[in-house]
Amino acid sequence: MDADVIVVGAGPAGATTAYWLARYGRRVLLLDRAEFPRPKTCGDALGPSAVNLLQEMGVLHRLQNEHGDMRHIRGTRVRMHQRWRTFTHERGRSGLLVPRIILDEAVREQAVTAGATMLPRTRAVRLLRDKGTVVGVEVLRAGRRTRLRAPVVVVACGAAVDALIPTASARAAAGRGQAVRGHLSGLTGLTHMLEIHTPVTSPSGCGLPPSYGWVFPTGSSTANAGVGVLGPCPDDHLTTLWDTFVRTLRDTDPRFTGLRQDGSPQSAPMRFDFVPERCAAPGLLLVGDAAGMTSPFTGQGIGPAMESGRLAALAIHARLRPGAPSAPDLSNYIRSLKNSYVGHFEDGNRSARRHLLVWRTLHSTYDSERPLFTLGRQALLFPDGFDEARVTRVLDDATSLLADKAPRLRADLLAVSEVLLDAVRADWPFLGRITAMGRSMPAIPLRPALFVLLAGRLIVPGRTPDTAVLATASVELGHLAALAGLSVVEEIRDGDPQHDDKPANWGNMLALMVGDFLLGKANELAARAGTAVSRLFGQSLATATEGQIRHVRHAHDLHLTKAEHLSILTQQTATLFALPCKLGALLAGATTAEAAALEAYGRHLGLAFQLTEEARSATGQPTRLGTTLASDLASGIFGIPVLHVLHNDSELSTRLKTLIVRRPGTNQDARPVIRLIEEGHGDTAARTLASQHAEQARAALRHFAPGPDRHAMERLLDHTLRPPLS
Amino acid sequence: MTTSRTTGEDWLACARTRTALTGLDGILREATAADDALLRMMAGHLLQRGGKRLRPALLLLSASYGSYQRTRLLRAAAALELVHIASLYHDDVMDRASMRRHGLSVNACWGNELAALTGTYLFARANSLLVNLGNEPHHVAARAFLELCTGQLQEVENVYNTDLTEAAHLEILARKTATLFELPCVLGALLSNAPRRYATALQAYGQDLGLAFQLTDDVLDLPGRGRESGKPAGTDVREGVYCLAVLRAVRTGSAIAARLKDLLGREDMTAEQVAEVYRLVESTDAGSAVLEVARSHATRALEALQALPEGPPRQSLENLARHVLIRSS
Repeated sequence: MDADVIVVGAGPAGATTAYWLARYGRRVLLLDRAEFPRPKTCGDALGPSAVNLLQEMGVLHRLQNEHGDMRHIRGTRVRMHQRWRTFTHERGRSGLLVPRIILDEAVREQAVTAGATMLPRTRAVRLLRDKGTVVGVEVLRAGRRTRLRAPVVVVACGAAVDALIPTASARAAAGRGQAVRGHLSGLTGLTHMLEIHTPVTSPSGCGLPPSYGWVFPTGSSTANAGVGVLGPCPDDHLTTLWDTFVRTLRDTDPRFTGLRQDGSPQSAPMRFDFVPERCAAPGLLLVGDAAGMTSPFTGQGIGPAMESGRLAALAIHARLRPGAPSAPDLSNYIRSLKNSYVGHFEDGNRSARRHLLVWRTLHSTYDSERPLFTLGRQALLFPDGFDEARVTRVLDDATSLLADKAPRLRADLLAVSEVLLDAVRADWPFLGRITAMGRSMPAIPLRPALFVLLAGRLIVPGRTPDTAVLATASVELGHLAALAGLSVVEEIRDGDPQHDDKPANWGNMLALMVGDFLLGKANELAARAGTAVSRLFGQSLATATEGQIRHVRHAHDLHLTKAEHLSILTQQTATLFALPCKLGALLAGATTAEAAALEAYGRHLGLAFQLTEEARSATGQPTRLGTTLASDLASGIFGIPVLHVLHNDSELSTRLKTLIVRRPGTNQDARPVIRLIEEGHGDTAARTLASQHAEQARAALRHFAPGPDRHAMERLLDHTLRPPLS
Repeated sequence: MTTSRTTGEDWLACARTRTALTGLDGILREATAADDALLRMMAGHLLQRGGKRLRPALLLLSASYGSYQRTRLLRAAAALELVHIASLYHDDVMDRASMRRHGLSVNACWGNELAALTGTYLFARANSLLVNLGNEPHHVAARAFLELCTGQLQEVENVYNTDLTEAAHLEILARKTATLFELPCVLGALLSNAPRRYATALQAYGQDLGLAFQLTDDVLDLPGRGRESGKPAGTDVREGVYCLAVLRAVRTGSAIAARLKDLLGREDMTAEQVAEVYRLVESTDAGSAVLEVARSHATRALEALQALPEGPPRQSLENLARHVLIRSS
């Protein structure tokens, strides 16, 4: 044996794998056909989780010592259809922009310092196999062929993987794209934000895959810029796209008026054909670009490349026994890839078609503030903002709220999440991503799962039955389905009854399909959990939908009374909180009285939650569901704060009416409304009502003896009324 | 996109089923009752216009091969009709169809949001009826509804895909359309405790009948074939939903196919290009070839029925399959 592990390719993925294996004391051969340092055609951008990884490996320190401060990135701005949207990293987190010639060398050096042996100018020509197991690699070095042997080979040679592991021809074109990159200078007004400009279109591009442009500022007047194409595309078209992109920037954006191109643009292949199952075989692992881990929508791939390297090293180290007769079982790598990257990249051989569908939806819903599309947009354009670290942290927040019950609850919550992901992943991985992100929303301590689990414990302390996990997953999917269902909108009718020439409404189509699909899944899970669960599920669905219908029909209704609004909220929102409590009670075998008490707790808590949200938005704060007063007013939704002032028969009421009928749609437009609400104490009215309902919820809990579970549920009430500042 | 049109009025040769079906409307009314007046109106919008009640009839006929309690069966039948209507509500929003069953569609009357929500409401009510049938029937239905939604998702994910294989296309049709033909047959057999071999035959019949119906409709709906559907002509091709005739024409390997390849697969087609696509498709024998496929499924449906004892129920089921044979020739 020449080593414990041979890593083919010394880019970020390979070097990260080699670094960690060397740190674990493994003998690693790291080979690459190039001599380092070497340049690479890339956008050069790293997200916050990649930066964390660099920090852990000591590479950040090395970079700072050798190259001084790097360019920090605060987020991404996206320009689509003349409109900008900004996605900012959370406080304390940022990305980096490092030229690959510097980054790759630093990671590689770090691997060598940790003990990996580097063989430069060494090209892998083929994998050596013994009865189907990979046992080494044949390399070409200084004109000579040599065979290197090791129990595990990690392939990290990017797009060159095709030469080593041929792809079935059916798959070959799917999940492949192209990018062209150049350097621009003479720019002004650049910030510490990455920019995506989409779509990039050229007249000759009809029928070709869609494309987007990027501008990543490397300094105050320079940028790395490029165009990515979502599918195969001829070279001359790539050049046309690049020219179109640069010309459009110069002609339409004053910051680019004095733009100069430095050198000629370079093209490179992109791979986004990630399939977790394909990433491991006996004696073989695939990492980084070789595994197809590039986002087709932003082109970013360095972070996932390094993370996959780290996961590969962990999986190998856990199972590799030197001298063992058979190849180690590396299937854990597949499992961890699935968990880390569910839907992050689409997988499966239908991925290319799905990319197009998602692209269409992304574009046709870019202006929509409906929940499904807000979530989807973030998942696609700013995946860094919602990585697993964040999901885990939010989970920590939720469970720390519940103090001593945390470890067990956490395990149960994770079990629910797993059922949830499994339920949607097989059919549509991207939904898994949305599901994961849905869980990371700031309202999460109030996620339905928690209520099922807590309500159950209140009746019977101890282990949660499997049916409860199924039922819980069902309720959570049902909530997501509701979010999707809320994303259907009216179309502008232009007097043409046939609306012949109007493009399809991808937003509505996807909202309904995804909503129905999630509802179908939720319903099926409920059926598996038993008739009683299904019955409750069906009743709640009917009630909540009826509430939603009343809600929609009273949009823009200035005569809606406060009492009627509350009755609508009771149906529409409170039902969604009462259901998980009832389910928890039911599955734990509660008495009728106990079930009624828990149902009342959920219902009142739901009202307290919604009224608190209304008070928040009425004072100009964003709600935990991401809506604002402006977005509410635009869709004609009047909460208690507005209704309170509207119906108090004063001069304030008249002024508010005048403002509202003008349908203020922006935050700026909404400011005078906020002032009037404050003057008329509308927000106080909502908060008072919220407290009253919280008290009723608290009273319902007194049906049960005091104890840690009851205490946890009381703390959820406090959290409902006083959410932590985000 | 869902099949419901033009079944002959007199196919239902089974008097017992005819009589039983008269009880259906009452249950449907009861199931869609809501406190909110508008919701009641929206929920009853299509129900009041009648319709063929094809799925309820299939369910009752399939239950003839065992013994059943009438009310219980009618509840199941009502549930299936409600799910069918719910899917029409959602289809019409997605297709932006303004007409349905010779009148305005729900979305045309009350808008997309309310139409979509009412569809979901009907689904919830259907579910409440099904839950009361017991765990197994409910679970069978829940799995079928999921199949339906998965099929729709697959269809939209393959829009503008001229390379979609025939097998994949048929699988999508089986899921999104045939499921709602198969389910009444399966449930009817299940709820009446019909012998296993009858249940199997009925399931096969439902599946093939559904495919035959959908394939025939897809051809007869091609513009220029004189049938009026609710949506503007050419919407399907413009929106990238290619029926089997189009997919076959693309694959003929001729100059026509090459021209079709040029025209299809893109979202910016003009009305002239859409019309040209249909002209080209009509100039091939793809349409009649697909009708041939439809007939073969109808024939298989008839063959499956051979396992059932003769009598008015089987006669009715045969009439339905023969009806497709006649329409498709």
